[in-house]
Amino acid sequence: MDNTTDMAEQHVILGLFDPKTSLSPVLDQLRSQGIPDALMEVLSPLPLETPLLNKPGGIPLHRITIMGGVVGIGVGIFFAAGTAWLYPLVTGGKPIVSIPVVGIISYETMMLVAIVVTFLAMAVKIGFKQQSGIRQDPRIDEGAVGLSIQVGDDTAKAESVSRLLQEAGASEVEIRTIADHV
Amino acid sequence: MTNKPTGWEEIPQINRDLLAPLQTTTWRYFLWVGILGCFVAAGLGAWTYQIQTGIGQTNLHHPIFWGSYIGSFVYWIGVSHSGTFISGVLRLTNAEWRRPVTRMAELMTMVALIVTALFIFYHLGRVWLFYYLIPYPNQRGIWPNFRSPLMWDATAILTYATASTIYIYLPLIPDFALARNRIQGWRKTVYRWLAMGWHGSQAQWYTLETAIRIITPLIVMVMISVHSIVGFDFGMALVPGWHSTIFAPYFVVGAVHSGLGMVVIGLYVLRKVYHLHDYVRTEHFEKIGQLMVVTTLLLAWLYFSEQLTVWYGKIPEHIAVQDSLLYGSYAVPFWFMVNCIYVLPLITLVWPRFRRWPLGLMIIGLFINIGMYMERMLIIVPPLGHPRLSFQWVDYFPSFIELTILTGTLALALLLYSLAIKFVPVISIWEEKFGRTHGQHH
Repeated sequence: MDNTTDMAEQHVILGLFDPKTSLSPVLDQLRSQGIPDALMEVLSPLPLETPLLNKPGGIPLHRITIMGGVVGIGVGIFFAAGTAWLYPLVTGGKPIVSIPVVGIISYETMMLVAIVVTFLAMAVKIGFKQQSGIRQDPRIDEGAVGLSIQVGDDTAKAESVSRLLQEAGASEVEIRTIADHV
Repeated sequence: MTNKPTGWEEIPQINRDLLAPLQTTTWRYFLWVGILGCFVAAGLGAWTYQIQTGIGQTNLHHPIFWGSYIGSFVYWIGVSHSGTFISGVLRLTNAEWRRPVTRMAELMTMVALIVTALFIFYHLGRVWLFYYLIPYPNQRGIWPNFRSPLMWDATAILTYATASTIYIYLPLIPDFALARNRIQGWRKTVYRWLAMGWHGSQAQWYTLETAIRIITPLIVMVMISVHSIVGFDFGMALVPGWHSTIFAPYFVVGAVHSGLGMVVIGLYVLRKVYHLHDYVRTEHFEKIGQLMVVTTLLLAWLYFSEQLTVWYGKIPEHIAVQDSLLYGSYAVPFWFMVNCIYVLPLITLVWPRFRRWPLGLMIIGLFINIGMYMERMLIIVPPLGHPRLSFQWVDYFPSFIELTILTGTLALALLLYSLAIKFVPVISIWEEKFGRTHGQHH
């Protein structure tokens, strides 16, 4: 219960903007007020062409894909070559371990593991590592662009950020608490 | 910056139009589902009877052990390539017109893959022992032989089914989030899970787009490998009529040909039923028509090369199979197939005016699919029916039980698709919005 009370004091400001409004100036102003990019989030109904925030993305997905592919090749070699050694089926004129067969199976398992780990990594990045206090707003579905800022429990800062967003042309500004989003 | 960026004002309308099929259902839909349910029940009954009484209920007897089930398996795995091809290849080539078409095609892939898997089980004599196929340490001392092309096939299809599911799911995440915010009831809970906490942040969009960009070329490579391996099932066998190097490319092109035909049918029906004329327009049919001309010519070239080689070689065992097709017991279905998949599409689709006629294109898609189904059967049955010793030559036609199972499965495919479009937006909403806001109104 104590935790819930603490969380309720954490403020999140959500400003809704028309898509024609450039968010770069307001983001610069927020940065100058000491709010790091990690506490801000731009929300949109479609992907934006230029990244507005500079956030560390963790391990790049393509690197995970390559690692998955390498593991997949190992899995394929294990099944097609390793198990053939473990359970030898002697067939006249045919080797126990066939290189072309190992190639075909390894190719498939390479693809399988590479795709699955890419998906899992993506799911972790978009699902579990999401910024707390943010949720989809129906008005963003309808074409607005949202700017969400976490300001912690500093009420004065919440009010100044809210004012700044209004001056920057936000059509609506709301101060929410984390508890609202749970 | 004085005007609103183009296309953004259309977003509320796009949301309403494309979520409407999920929110409204008429009595006609329930009637359609009910009719399909009856056919599915009949098919299920026939399969139960086959399981109880044995595989002898089919007409699969020596020397024809592969018949309607494996033929259908090959056909449906081909149809499953529709989504991957339309979505994957067109995404790779930045073909902007793909946007309203991809989701419908991807749903077909999903449904076709489920149906494909069923045919493997129909084909098994003792289906309850299916786990013998799975490689895991066991007390039986039996281990799947990876040197067999059938094990390559099982591995490839497992890869394709898993990868396709992921590939189809990725672009659905933002649409699931939209549905989560708009639709109430039990579906809201499901959408909430499927949306994985999506709220449209810049980081989420970046991650999703990166994942799609990485997986797209991989899924295209998997698609090509899967149908090549299905072709190897035949090409590796020392059976006259099968033992050929052309099977892998021929199967891949044939799969795309039938897949495109199926997509056109789906596009036509969904556009009509859900009034999607603003999204699925004549130019989409025209573009698919152009692709169908290419696949028709490619397929005809490969088929002619194969048949010419057999004809010129005059190897008795091989020519016996060809004779049975050209003027033997399979001549009627053979020439019907030739007309359906080569002649009819060519004489119609080369005309731009015809390609801009959605109904005409849908009819051609129907003929292509009937023809491709017969073509798959004609690849399998005549070579098996003409083994090297001619006293064993036999003809084959599916039994009543087989036909009932085939009909029930076709109904199941239609039923699954009909149910899916009540749960999944038939057009990728965010991709459609993206296309319009970026001036790509295709």
